[in-house]
Amino acid sequence: MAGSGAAIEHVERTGGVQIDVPAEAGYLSLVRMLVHTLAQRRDLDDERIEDLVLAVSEACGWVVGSRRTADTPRPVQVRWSESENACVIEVTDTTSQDGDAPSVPSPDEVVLPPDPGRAALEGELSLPLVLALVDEVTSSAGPNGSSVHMTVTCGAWQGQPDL
Amino acid sequence: MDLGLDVTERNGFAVLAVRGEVDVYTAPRLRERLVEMVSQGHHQVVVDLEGVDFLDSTGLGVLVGGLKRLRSHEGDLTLVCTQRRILKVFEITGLTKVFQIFDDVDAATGGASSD
Repeated sequence: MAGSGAAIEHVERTGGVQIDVPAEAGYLSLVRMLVHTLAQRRDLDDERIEDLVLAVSEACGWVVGSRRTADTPRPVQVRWSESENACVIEVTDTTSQDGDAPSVPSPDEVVLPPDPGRAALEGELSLPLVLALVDEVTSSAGPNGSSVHMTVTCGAWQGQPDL
Repeated sequence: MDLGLDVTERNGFAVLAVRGEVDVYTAPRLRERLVEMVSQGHHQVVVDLEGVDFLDSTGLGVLVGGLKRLRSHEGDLTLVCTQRRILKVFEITGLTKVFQIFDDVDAATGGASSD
């Protein structure tokens, strides 16, 4: 993707990168491509990368879905940050501000649905999927909006960071 | 984003080959295609997911909706999938108990389960 090289360079220099995309479903593939590109640099096998890409896409989908009726939806903010043994992806709904209740589901309340067919029809499989795909999920609400934080543990950088 | 939806017929089954990414953006097109197939009288449907690169929970909902619609017409919807990344989504969500999933179209249209 255009700009992914710059994103990688930025991550390796600063430890993180952030992109803001319109809260529209058509932009989710762009987010997936960026997450895939960044994750490939870490010691993650292909299956873990695909898991992470799906989890981030689902989390972005919550924001996009909740913004469908908003008159002036603000962007979805996706922030990638990393340490030596973990990557953290934060998806923020910047529309819900000033103490609004988080528009993202609370991971603490999720159980696997007893009837997955009904749950699929009612759109209730997204959060169980995310919880199964990454190592840790938390949510928060702050002045910049409500956020979902997803963490995956992983090995060291594949590339050489600038010194 | 391209989503390929090609319908062929085999052994009395309508086979819908899906290619590309099925997400919240493209899933409505898959839903429309399935609804169209049912309205055209195709009640034994095989959805071939071998060409799918990405499938999210919205796509799962569309497939379950298609299954429900077909069963209301005394029909059925089965899947073809061998890709680990896609099968994993069905396994995590428990939908492997809802769908019959075959290794290839021949098995799906001949009735041999891969389980």
